[in-house]
Amino acid sequence: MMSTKYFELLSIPSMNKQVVNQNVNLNEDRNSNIYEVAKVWIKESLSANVDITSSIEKMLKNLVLKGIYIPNPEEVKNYLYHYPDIADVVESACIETRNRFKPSTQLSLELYRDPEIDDEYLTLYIRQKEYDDNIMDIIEDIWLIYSDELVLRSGDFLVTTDFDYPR
Amino acid sequence: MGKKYANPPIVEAICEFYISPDSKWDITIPGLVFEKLRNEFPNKEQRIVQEVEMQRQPPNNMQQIIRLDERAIFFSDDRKTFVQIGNRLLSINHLKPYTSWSEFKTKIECAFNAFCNSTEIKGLQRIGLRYINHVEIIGKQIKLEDYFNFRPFLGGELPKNIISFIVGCLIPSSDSRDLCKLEISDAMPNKEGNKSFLLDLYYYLNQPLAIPINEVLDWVELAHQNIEKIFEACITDQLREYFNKEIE
Repeated sequence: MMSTKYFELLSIPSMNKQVVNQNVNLNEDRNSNIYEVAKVWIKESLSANVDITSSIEKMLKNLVLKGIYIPNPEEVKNYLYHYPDIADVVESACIETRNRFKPSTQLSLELYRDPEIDDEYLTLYIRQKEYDDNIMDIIEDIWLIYSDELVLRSGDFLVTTDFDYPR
Repeated sequence: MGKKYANPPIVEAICEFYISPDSKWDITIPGLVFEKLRNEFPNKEQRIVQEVEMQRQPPNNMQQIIRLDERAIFFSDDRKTFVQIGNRLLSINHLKPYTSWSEFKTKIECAFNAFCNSTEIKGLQRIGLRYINHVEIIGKQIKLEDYFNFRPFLGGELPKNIISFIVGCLIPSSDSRDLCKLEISDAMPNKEGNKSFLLDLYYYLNQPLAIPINEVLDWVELAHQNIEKIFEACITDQLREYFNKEIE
């Protein structure tokens, strides 16, 4: 039996070990070629998840495509290089937030620096021209989904609003 | 010694070792490695990794097995360098600022020796050295040919106004014992109004077990020499000036 492995870095400490088996039946004369192509592609991708750069780049590109505004990408990237284990939570929370608000709502991913103490963390600011009455309820709903995921991570992240006008 | 740039584009360098399936492996090994590396990499963390295995079951089936495994990660105090230990995997990652090959190689040797002294390694299934470069050019309208000798080519009547791309190739080396996967793609600029690109060079051992354990570090040195040559061949003098300003 031939086998090839590749790896994808996740950051879900709470998740138990799982095994999912999936059988794929292929047309006999195509099976061999498809397998060989898959094997080469996977082999060449082996390193892909040992690095953190590709996942950060993919994540930020995806967020921009989904309409998340990132006014200072360099700051956000540097934070994610420092705390790569929060990237998946940030991405999921940003997309969930995008889905909860109308397109005219600006979602801005920024690095917040506390002026009082030496602390910084990523923040997704929700900004509207006219604020919805229930905005804090929606934020709390989103936060309930993701706050537990952040407990064991090295970095920090917040979804909030500063009630500012979209920039 | 290769060229040094005042503003090197390297954002991440990785050296990885996958040991052969017949090598001894158990869950105590990351702890043994940590004990040997704790002075340089004192901060340990744990991640869950999704591993996908494809098994061919002749004649007509291909089975995908997805499982989650734990990976131990040991960070240096500044978190710019870290060692990952997974299932039969050792990797050493160096984030920017990348200072020199000699410094990175010292860390590779240190981690590899700690790994070898923590388990019985029968052979190396795969070794890889990878450099990911982030090149950021000021300005929205730039000509790729001014900066890269390795780039997408759209001939004939194809539209030239691409907004995103990814191009890659595999270059054989040492009679195809090794391969270099070369990839360039557009990337997220650090500053609005700039253009940026990822130039990713991944040199790896294509023939499992072809390098004896005692020659592994020589292979890594050769890999670095070859990667450096390919990198220099990928870029133009204009980009070299951009990185400026060679120190030596």
